[in-house]
Amino acid sequence: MVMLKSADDIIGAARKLSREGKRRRVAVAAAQDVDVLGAVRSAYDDGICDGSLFGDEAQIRSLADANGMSLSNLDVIHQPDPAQAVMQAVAMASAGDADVIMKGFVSTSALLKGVLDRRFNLRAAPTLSHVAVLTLPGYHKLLMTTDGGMVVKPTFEQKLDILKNAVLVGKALGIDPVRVALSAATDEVTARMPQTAEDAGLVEWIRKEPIDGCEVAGPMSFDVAVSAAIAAREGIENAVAGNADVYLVGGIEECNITTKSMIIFAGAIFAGVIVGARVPVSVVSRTDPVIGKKASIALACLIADYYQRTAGER
Amino acid sequence: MAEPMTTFAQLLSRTRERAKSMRPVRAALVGADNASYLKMSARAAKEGIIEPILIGPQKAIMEIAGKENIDIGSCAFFDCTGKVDAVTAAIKLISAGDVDLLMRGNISTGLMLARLFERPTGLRSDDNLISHVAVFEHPLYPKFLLMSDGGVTVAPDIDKRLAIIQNAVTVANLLGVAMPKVAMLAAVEVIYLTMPVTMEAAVIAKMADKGQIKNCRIDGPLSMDVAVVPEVARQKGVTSDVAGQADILIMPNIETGNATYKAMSMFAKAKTAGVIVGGKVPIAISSRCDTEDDIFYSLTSGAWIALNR
Repeated sequence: MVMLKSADDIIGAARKLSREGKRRRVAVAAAQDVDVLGAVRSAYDDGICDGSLFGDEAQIRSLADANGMSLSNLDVIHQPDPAQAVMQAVAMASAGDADVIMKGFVSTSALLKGVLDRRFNLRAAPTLSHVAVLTLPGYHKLLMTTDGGMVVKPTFEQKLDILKNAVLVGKALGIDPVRVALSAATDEVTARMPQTAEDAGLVEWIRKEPIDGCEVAGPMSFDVAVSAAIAAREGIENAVAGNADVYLVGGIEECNITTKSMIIFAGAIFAGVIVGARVPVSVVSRTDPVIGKKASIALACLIADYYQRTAGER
Repeated sequence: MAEPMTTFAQLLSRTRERAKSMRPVRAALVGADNASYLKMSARAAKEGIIEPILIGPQKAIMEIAGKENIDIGSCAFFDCTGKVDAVTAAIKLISAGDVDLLMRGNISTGLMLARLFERPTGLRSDDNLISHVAVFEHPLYPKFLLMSDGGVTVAPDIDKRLAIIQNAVTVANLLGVAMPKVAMLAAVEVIYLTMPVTMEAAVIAKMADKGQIKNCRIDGPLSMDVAVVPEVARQKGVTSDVAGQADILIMPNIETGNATYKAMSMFAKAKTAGVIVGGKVPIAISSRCDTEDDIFYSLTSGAWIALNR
């Protein structure tokens, strides 16, 4: 698979899957949300995916009407109770009839409760984490940041889980090896900054217990991770410096704030996904632009495809 | 107070006027053996805002100046070879009252700060906390955006956080913003008991409501987009007078501040300045990812602060 380098590439790859007869189906939990409806509509129209909308049918239809949106070719399954809509969407994915679960008018925690419900057997990794995939003008490829949405302050073990989850996303994007930079405010291990010691511990851990298809280095500050010129000037030579695919941070605030500053001020296009379950979970925000919402859905479809291609190996 | 300044061009012109009516700022460049820093110090001298004192190996500095064709005719020298000696020289100059501003040149920030503020050199004014304040000018934001702390305090407790806010408010005041709007940043704009950062932000915002923190308005927790994008603040229903129009972003920890600063400089192409405040003299400090212009903005900002102390 070729390495994808932008939101357009991600959307294009999902469309290609569809053309090859592997069109993916998105099950939306509580679809009575105008932004989510719009995102699924445009993803369908672009040939990215099919959609099954679980939710309050009357509300869904009136929202679509009020916004001049057709629901043709999207399945609407009436379920007025959001908690039940979650269960039905998750059950569909569990049965293998849907490839992606998408959040509608329901809280993320309620949705994930359904995803993690043991009856549905969708648990895969020990930790669910959020991966942001950025198309960042000025960077030579996609930049992933994680975790800015799920784990508030990861333990060492959780950080390892987050890393593995991000590597899977990288592989689904055709990246090989996935180069992971462990973030810090400096490039040296210093007792003053516990995060640097944890990074060093992770690097050492992975040296002993290698993770297939990735290169990991750190502690590494952001500029060294993404600029070959600065890495060279600082004399930092490794497989990641200046060429990171993933910037793995120490806490939710660090990821969320840094990522948003690139979206707001650097014009980065954001596609996001929650990984760690047997199916990817797509969460789009009202404030994402159309291309970002579409790229998020396409990203989830690519991950679903990767999971299915490699199911035996994982 | 005068109109708030919104660009580095305005700041330069005000600094020039002030330096003319008072005197140029005596600025010591610690580790002057670097072409970019030398060039920008010469530029600031030519603008009439500083009188540079070049600390470092004089021979090497002269060579760089010759090779790069930098006019250092008006600069004073303090010849020394080692990095530690350069900091020691700076400390001597500050203690004697012979400099008003430091600029970090070819020396690591960690080494410089550790030596400068090692007790009992007495370079802290009283027991003030020193902190790093970044100033951004970006075409998508209608005014200066300040951020702290991405450079000094690793994981501030609430007391230190208050000092960090106070230092940033002082800088905003000097830039003409009388009542700066301070956003306590978090990953979300509501309080979750599972997110300690949101709780601390809420406590500080409440302290400000009660009048315990002066000269500013504070709201928090706020997410980055709610803090600086009015449209997002509206969509998320956050109606404080800080949301969407923050002057100052207070970062939860040094890692966040550091990475955000670098993203703003490298990818958002913001004009940036960095200053460390809270000590006896301000310290202009640029990041290795900054442009030469950014070094000049740091010098200008430091000079302005020094002129208004």
